[in-house]
Amino acid sequence: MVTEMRDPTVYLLTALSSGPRHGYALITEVADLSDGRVRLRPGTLYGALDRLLSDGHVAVSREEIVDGRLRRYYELTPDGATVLAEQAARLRRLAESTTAALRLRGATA
Amino acid sequence: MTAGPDAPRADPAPWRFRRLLALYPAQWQADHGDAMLGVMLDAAEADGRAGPTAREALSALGHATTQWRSRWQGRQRHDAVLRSFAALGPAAVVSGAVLAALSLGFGELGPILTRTPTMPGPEPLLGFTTTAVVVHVVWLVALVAALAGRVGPARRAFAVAAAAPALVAVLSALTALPQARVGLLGGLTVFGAVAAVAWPDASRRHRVVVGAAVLAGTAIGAAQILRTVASSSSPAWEFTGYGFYSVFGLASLGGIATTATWAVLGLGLLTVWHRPGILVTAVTVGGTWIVVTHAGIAAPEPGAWMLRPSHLLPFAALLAIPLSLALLTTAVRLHGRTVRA
Repeated sequence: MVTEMRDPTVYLLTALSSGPRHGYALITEVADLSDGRVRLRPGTLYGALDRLLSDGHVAVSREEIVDGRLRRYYELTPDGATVLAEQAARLRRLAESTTAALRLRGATA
Repeated sequence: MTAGPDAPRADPAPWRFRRLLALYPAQWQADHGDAMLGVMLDAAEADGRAGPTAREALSALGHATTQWRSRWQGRQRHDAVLRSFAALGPAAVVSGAVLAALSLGFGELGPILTRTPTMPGPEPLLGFTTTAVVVHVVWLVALVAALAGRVGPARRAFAVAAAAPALVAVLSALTALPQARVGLLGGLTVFGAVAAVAWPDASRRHRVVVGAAVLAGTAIGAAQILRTVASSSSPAWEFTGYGFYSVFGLASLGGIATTATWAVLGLGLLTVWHRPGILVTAVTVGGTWIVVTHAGIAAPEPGAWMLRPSHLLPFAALLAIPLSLALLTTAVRLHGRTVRA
């Protein structure tokens, strides 16, 4: 059984699926992916990253200094990619069953 | 997320964001602080803000709280009963500190300041009723260092606490001060051995210091006992009793016994913090010694100059508190380790 993940976490994994991202890039990427619905604050971002790092779904890929600021890049691990695929499948099944239910309701209405 | 084109823009002030990082545990700050600061500065720069927003501050506060909670839960057991027992460790240290301070104040310094003789016994040494006062002071220094998290200084002070009385006793014997303290040396030898047992991960240099003190005490104590045997005209049973007291019966038994107990407890707690199980050995050995010495106190002649049997109960109660707490703490830690494994 696939454990349900919260939306911000799924968006984070999705943002990382296209390549390594640093913290602020993740915030903007998640905002774009969610059409502005999910706005991660630094505390929320690092809370999610802490969990994903400890679960082995995400890893630190590299660090660089830009304008005197440390940028730490995160990347999706193979385990994280598997989890993201499972979440996608779960959401797809949810969408299909919801759509089927709505079709059935339309047919009987 | 970005500011409007007409909104006043400001450069982010790093110090305002660092205040949020101060909410986090030190270890988390060291691991992630700079990276998180960079994220907050990037976000503020994009928005044209100089400081964090209220939502950012709340977000950091919430995350920092979870970090503190998970850090605490990592150290404590999840089981509610164990969690309550885990509080006994600090309680043992605090009770040891209070009782040691009381013992130091009333048992050692008080009689010196008021020039009141405490009990019949060996002559004062260097103005002190007993060398235990030295150990008390050093042990308290070690305790303060341990409570302050200064493990290195704490361990060094414990080493001094273990070696100092033996060193003073050796000097006492070598300088032929009145009534060379055979009993004191014997007890201190046990004390040193207990300290060594309670401190298995000590550095090689510290082991050498403690070991040398123990060996010196043993050698001089043995020499004193042999001299007593050679010169004694007492019946064999009396000599046996005297020999027993010589080894285990101390001139200021209460002071030394309590000091040793606190030292063992402190060493054990300091060590068990990283290596659960050591305290069991330390307290068992220390406790056995105390039981034996108390048996010696309770015995009749010879030993009238030692602690009186009526003193046994208060001292036993005094010793029982930290020993019980120490054993409970160890049991909890051992159990917790088993659960975690």
